Amino acid sequence: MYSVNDRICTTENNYGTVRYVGPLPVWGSEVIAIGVEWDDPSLGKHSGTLEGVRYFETSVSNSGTFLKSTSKKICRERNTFVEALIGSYGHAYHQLSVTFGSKKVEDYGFKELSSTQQQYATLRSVSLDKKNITGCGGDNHDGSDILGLLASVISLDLSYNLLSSTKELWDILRHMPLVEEVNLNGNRFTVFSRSDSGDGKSVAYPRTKSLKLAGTHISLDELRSYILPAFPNLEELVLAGNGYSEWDIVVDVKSLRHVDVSFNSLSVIPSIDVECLNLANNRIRIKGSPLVLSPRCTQVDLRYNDISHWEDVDVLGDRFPSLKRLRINGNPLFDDILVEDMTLNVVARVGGLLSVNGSIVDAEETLNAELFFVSKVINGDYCFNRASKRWTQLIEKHGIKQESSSSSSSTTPTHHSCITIGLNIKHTDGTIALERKMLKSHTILRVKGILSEKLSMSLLDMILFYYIDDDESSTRRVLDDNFATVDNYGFKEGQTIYVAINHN
Amino acid sequence: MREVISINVGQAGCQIGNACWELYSQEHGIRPDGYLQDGLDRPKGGEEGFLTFFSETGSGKYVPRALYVDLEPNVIDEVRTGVYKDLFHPEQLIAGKEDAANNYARGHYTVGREILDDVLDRVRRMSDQCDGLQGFLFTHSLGGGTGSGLGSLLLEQLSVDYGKKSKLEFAVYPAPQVSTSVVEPYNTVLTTHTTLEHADCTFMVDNEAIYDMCRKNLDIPRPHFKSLNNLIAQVVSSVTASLRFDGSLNVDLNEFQTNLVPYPRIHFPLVSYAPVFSNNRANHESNSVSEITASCFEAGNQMVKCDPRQGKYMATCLLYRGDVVTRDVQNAVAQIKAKKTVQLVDWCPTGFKIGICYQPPTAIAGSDLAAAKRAVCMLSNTTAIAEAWRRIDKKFDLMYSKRAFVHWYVGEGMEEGEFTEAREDLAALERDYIEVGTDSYADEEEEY
Repeated sequence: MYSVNDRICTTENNYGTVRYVGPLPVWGSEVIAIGVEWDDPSLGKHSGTLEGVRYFETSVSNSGTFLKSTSKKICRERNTFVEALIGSYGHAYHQLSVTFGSKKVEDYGFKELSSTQQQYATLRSVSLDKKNITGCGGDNHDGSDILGLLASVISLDLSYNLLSSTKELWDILRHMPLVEEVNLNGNRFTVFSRSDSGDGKSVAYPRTKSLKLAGTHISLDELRSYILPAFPNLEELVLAGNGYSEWDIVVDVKSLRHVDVSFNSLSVIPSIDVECLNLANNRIRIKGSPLVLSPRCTQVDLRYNDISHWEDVDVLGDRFPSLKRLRINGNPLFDDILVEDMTLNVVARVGGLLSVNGSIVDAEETLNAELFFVSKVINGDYCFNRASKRWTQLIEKHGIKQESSSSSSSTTPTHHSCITIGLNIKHTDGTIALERKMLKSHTILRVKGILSEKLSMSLLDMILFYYIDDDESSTRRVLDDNFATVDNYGFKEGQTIYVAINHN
Repeated sequence: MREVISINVGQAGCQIGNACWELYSQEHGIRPDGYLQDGLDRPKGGEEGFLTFFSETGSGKYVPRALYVDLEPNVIDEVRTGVYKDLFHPEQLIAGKEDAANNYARGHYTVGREILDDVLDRVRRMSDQCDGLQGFLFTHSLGGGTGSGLGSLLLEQLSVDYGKKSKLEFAVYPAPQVSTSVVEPYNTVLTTHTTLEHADCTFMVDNEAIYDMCRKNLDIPRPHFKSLNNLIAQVVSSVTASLRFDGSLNVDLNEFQTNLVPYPRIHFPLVSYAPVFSNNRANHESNSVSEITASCFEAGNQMVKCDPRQGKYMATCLLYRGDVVTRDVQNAVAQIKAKKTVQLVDWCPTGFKIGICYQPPTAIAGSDLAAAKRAVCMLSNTTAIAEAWRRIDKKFDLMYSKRAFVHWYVGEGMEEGEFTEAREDLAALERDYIEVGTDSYADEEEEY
């Protein structure tokens, strides 16, 4: 009853594809075994090999299982589209007889709903998800009558069914020339054909705006050759969870506005230029993405990717010049920083954003973020490429003087010298007592403390002095203010300080 | 005609009002300037239902039957200058000059009183335009000064002026995550006490619950007020959908209201809504009727943080919306029954009802809530919601035991006795809930 490439469903709503039908030595010749490759690999036990014999191959390793064809796990219900349609829409209304305690559930409006939906000719939406549909059906006279009535359907939902051949899909769609939305999520097509009218002529659906193919594992070539030609005016295309690791085709549908390629394995930003691009839950690192501009993109979702460097965020503004709404949370880059810091950085680095991670960013917030960011960059706390267009933009927008930025950039390599200073501390006989870098903010008391530890000398017995410019002929200056900082004395790098015993 | 006048009071009320009217306009095909969208010759969803919430002017423009009231001009100025500025008539926007400073007493007695006559006058004019006024829909917060003080004052006055017209409330319950002042517990307790006998049905919206939904379900790491309000609007829209759309499929909200409120004081149904998905998950989560029905009974989809397993259901209403099939709904209800998550008490006159509105929910442009073909909103009167009152009472007691901040209220001419009186009323409400909860064992379980 099952043949290879058929789709199979269990009573627990797990889906798989039949890869092998035939006997297995362990079960003897009486039992017909069905080799299944599960959509969810975690259900599998092996890759199609049992006791050293390969019966079939799985595309994901260890996603295969053998079931007896009589197994109770297999959902026996298999419908044609026509059967499922009659099952859901064709029934006359029956009063629901569920009670909670002594109370009967009362329903309002459902009788009318049933009688409206029984009129196939006026049905605008057909939702037959999870109905184990394997094909179109309607071979008998009544069935084809029903199919003939479906001309006003504009929304068709066939998600999570058992369709495996596109021919069945075209057979169903042929009766709905006005269809605007087609949802095929969770079906796995293995046999492809072009859309035709049954007598060889090709048929297109110019009104279809939305096509959903999430979790179908349809390859990009199959998509381009067999599916897309039937839908010339698509606006929304959903290709989530299809296992793509690279995007090597050009989708040539001018009308597209919304593309969803989330939950794939892409590692670079695909070159798709549509208003709204969903790239969430991929493995995008941005680095190495081809620098193709996507000027139409206003909304990009980059959640849960592998972005781990700020440089990668910095290029987003150039990559998507009209970007308005960005979602980027859940990337490793933001693991250790506060939400506020993430928002602030993203707003300042990318520019032009109206919304970050689903929260609106108003003009005031943008201003604050940018000014804060610029000051942090100038102080050397944040790294940012000052040759970039965005930096020039920020500098011009906020009227920050160019020289302040250039002078600070020249001091950047030595900016540690702003904080620390190297001091030579010698005994009066010229032997070196201590040579080390100190924080400029250290007090003299602290320096003495460090020395006393090193020389095992009491703080009170110690006296520190120096000569201006290390010129021993000048007057000796004593460091007697214990609460002054090293910085207060205006030492140069490598200043010599003498330590002596205070005999008083 | 069964018109409903919406009254949005205070900052939160007005902002939620904005989100709601934006959504209503989109659902009915009205442009931000009040005219029909191109290509429509009449509003979507049937004219009769539509006119309960909108009125039509001679020029073919539609105006919401709504009133915005605030004691300070900022929020209302935003409406006046915002995208939807032409949707409203200037008479519908009433702003004072001096704010209530998060003080119930200022909203209720001093500053609020000055504006009261003006507001009542506008309400009167608006109700004169109605053929058969059905009632009022209030949106306000419980924690702020204007929402709590002026809101309760208005409710009291409407009771006097309009007698038995029904008054429904959407009340924002305060939460520490999005708190603006420390005196929120005072305002909440005081306003609940005042409105307890004036409102017929209060749908509470706990900011904490909405905040968590935005964070967890919508994956917004730092939810903005706008995100919270858009989600609230979606829920309000689901509750009011049955009033706004006509056709035999759409059941009257009154039918449900009667069912939900067995005793006048026990009028705080718990609202749950499903599906709430972020748009990147929309194509992975299938939202079949049985799945959205089941998620309605999960704590993560409730508008008020409380544990429904700790309470008893007195009444439950499921309002389905959009593309559903009778058979799926019946199966879903049978599954709920099988899971035994819902135990309705026997002694209560109310029951389990399900209804349908064939209009699918609409996603607000730019919202992170994924568009769904079907949604379900559950209104259930459960004793679990008393937890919300216990929480706020506890916070009230902490402050009031030291008389902290009470001088701000007394300074506005309020008597301290009102605090004690309000607190006692809330204690009585908590006891009422315990009482209706324990009654169930009365007869059948008795053994000798």
